[in-house]
Amino acid sequence: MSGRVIVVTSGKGGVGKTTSTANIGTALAKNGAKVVMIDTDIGLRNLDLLMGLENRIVYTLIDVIEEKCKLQQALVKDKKNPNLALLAAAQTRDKSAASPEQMVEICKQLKEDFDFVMVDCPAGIEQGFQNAIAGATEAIIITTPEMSAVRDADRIIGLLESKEDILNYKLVLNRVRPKMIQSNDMLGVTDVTDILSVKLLGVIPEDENIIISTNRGEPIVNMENTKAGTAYMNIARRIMGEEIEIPDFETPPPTFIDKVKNFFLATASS
Amino acid sequence: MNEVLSTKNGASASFSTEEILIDLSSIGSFENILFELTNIIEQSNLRGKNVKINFGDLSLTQNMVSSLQSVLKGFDISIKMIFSSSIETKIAAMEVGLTVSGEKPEIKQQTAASDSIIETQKDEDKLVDAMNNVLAGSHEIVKENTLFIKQNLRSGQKLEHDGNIVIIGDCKAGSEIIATGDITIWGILGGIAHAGSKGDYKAKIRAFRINAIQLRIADLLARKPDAIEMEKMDKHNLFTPEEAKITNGEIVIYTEY
Repeated sequence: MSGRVIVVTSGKGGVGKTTSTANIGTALAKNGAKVVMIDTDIGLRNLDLLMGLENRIVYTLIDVIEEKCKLQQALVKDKKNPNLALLAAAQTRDKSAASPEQMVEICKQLKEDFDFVMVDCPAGIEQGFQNAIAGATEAIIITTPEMSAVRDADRIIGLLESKEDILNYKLVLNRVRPKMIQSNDMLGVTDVTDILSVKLLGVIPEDENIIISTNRGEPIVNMENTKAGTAYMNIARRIMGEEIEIPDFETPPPTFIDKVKNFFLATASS
Repeated sequence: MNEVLSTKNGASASFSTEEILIDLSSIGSFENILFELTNIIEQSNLRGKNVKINFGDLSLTQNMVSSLQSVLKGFDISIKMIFSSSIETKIAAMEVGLTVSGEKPEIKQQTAASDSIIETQKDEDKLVDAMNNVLAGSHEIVKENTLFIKQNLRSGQKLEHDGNIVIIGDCKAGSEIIATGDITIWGILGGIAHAGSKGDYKAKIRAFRINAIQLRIADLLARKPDAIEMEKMDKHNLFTPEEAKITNGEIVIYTEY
C-alpha cells in the first residue's frame, strides 16, 4: 500500500492550516480511510490541542528523528476514531531539529501503513516549510479572502510549483462570509481563484462553532450540523474522488438597496 | 597550589588540583567570549581537561552554547559544568546536555591566588563575592543537588537537571521539567513534570496547584483527564498545595500531606 502525502500550507499565519488539517484528517478517517497527521510546527505545536490529544503525547517527531523511539511508539491514536493517528511536534525544540531528508524518510515509512499522511505546515517559507513539503506529493493551500493572505498564498504556490515532487495542489478558501461578498465588502471566491489561477477544493464559511471546537479539543466535523463541519466533510469526499459541487456563495439574493432602487425605479416610471 | 590566569578584559582561568574554572562573567558578548576563550586556551595547557565555565548574567542561545562546546571540543576540552544567572543560558546549556548551576561558582583557591583575580574586579564585586562565599558555606547539600530558578517557565522551555529542581514561579502548559530527584514548584504546575527520571520511585512532585498535562515519576505516567474544562481561575487566590507521589504502583495527587 502506498498512501498519499498531502501538505496543508498557507504562507500566512492564522488562516486555518491547523484547523483544516485536523478537520480534513478527521473527516477522511470518518469516511473509512486510515489517516495519520504530522504536526511539523516544531516549537509552536497546536494540532494536538485541536485534537484534544495533548495529554497523551509521550514521544514526538523529533524523538523519532533522533531515534529515541520507534515511529509506531510516537503515533498517538485518536480518542474516537481508531483509523486516525497523530505524530506530534516537539514543543521544546525549534525548526532546525528536523531536516527535509528526515521528513522524506518519515513520510515514506508512514505511507506504507496509511492511506493519507496529512502534514500540517508551519507559517512562513523558511526551514519549517521546507521540512513540511519535503515528503509531500500533494498540497492543499489554505487562504482567506484577504489581500495579505492571498498574496502569501501566491508566494507559496510559486514555491510549490518549483518543487517537482508536488504533483497536485488545490485551494481551500477559509472564513468566507457570503453576506460580505454579496455586498462587495470581501473578495469573492472567483476573485481569489482568478488571482491565484488555481483549482478550488472547497470553501469554508465563517463559523463561530470553530471557536467552540478549538477550545474543546474536538474537530468541528465531529459536531452535528455545522456549516464549517459540512464543508470540511465535503472537502474530504472530494479528496477521495467524489464529485461534489461547491455551493455558490456569490449570487446575492435581492438586497435591501436593490429593493429600494427597484421601488424608486418603479415609482419614477409610473 | 592554585594558579590564576587573567586576561586584560577581565576573563580569568583558575586552576586547582581538582578543577579548572574559567570565569567569563565580566565579558559582555558572545563574540568576546569566543575571543577570550581562545586567549585563555592559547596561554595555558587545557588539552584533555574538564573545565567549569562561569558566564555570569549573559544570555546565550542553544546554538551559541553548542558552538562553544564544539570549539572547545576542537581543543580536546570538555565542559564539566556551567554557571549562569541567565535562564536562557541555563536552558540552552541544558538542552545541549550540560550540567548547569544557577549559583555563583565557588572559587577554590588560596588567598594569594584570589588577590590576583580580584585585582581585575571592582570593589562592589568583592563584596558580592564575599557574601556569596558565606552563603555558599551554609547551603552545602542544596548546592550540590538542587537547581533553583526564580522565573516562570513558559511553553517550549525545558529544564533538565541531575538532582532536585525548585522553581519559584509557574510552569505553564507546554513547558517540561525533568529531574532525577524531586520537583517543587512555588506556583502552578501546568506543563509536564518528570521526577525521579533515572528510576527513583520515591521522587515527588509538589506545587501550589497541580494542573499538569502529564505527571511522570520514574517510568510511570499519569495524564490529565480528557474532559477539558476551561481553565478555572481561582479568584480568591486560595491554593491548596498538592503533592504527587507513587502509591500502589500509581501516581496519586495528595492535597494534604
